[in-house]
Amino acid sequence: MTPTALEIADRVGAGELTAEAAVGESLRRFVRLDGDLNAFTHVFADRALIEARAIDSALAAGAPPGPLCGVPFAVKNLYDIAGEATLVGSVVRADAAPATSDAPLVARLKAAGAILIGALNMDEFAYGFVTENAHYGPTRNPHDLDRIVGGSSGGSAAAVAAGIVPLTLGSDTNGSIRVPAALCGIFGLKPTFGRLDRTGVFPFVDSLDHAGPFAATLTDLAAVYDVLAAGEGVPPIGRGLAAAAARPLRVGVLGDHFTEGAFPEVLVSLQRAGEALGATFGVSLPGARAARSAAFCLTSYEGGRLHREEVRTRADLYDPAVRDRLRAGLLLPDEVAAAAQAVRRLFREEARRLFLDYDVLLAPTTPCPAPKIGQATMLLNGEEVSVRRNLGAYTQPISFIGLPVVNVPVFNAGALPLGVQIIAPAWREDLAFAAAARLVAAGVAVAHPPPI
Amino acid sequence: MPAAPTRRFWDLAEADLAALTEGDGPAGEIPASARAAVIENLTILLGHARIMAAAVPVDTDLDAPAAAFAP
Repeated sequence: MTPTALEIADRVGAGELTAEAAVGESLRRFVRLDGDLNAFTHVFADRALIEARAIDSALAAGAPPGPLCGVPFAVKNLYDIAGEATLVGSVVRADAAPATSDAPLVARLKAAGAILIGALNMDEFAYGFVTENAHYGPTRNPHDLDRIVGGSSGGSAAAVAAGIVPLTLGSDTNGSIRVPAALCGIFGLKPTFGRLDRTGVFPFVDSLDHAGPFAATLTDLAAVYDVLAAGEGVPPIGRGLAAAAARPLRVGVLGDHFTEGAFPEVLVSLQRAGEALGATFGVSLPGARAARSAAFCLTSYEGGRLHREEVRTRADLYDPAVRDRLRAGLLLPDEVAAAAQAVRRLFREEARRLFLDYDVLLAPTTPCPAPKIGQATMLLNGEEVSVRRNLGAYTQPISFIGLPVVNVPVFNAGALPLGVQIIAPAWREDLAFAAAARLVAAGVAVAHPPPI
Repeated sequence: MPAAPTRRFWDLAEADLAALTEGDGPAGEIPASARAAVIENLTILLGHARIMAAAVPVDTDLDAPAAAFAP
């Protein structure tokens, strides 16, 4: 069993473990496992060991340990890392100038004592749900190496699920934290839109992008969130997590769009989570289908405009599947984007009304467990549909209106991992964490180690 | 009555697509593969736009066929 982030921080802070040893163990696991997984695009072993020794020296000199002291972490290949080109899972940016500073979220983790060991694989320019990257290869699921990890933050999920690092950062535009967290069986947080600083995080869709963390335990997720959100006026979550588990909550389980086409095992996981929380089932959130479609259109529209020049002049450097979607988005007229924004306003109001009756809402994270690598289609509701376009069907409406979501892993015996979204009102991450803590206490939400 | 469409984007898209794909092949030609891939993706987007249009007015022509792109 690999140690959690808080176990490492406690032991390093108490002088029972050096940061250098913690980083060394993480690097050994990388060497042993990443040949199969392909979670990392870059590893900064020398730099990480130098930083670890500096932390050990500072502690020896009496410096107070940070809350993530000596904890190895890694970030999706779209976070700025000082001295490195931010490649965003692409070769289009291979000649980009190195970043002059770390992204503020990376800097916050480092300031808390965490040590960056690498950058992680992703769908090119974050446009995808599968992390079958045309340039860096597919990332493989630690629970079944023949299956995808989900995306676009697939490397971030795989690295945590495999225990190479206990913490990673990713980004979520339409589900890119929640989907891979679910398919790899770990915890992931997509905070409220605007909660965490996106400076130095390469954009995809400006009106939909969120930054957020992954962890193998809820306590680690809360701890890293507390560090990332420090200074944003957010009361710390981690300290009160145990007490939060006893908090009475009004919980609704979303039906309609959020269960349409779901595999039977997905519904079993949702049922288990809902029952453990004493939830009301079959709650309707009107407008979800239109919201999902609006998110789909706006993603192509905004993403296309971001890449307007390069898909024209450097087309051959793009993954063709990404390039063609960006081009199609560029051809969408402004009127479609305006309509999408109108849908967003209506749907946000529907959600606001629903939260008068419920503290949190539950929904499956994906309609199915992890598909096979290279699998183009799957059956939903008896209809053959694209894997790439439909893994985010249940996540897209929620990120479209910026609500905070904790993905909790729910394992059914002998089956691949699945996830349940715990959705809270805007700025109420604490409620999503409280419900997640109850599911952890009930033994429903837990990340099982993979068989690798 | 919904407002009349203000733009038939399919009429304009041919020129837009030619500009977007100018690096893909001979000048002035849209390679067939690029055309097919963009049509496929646009058709999907159009389907989503139609779903949206059931909820809010979409002030453009969503009914013109993707076949307008066919060579």
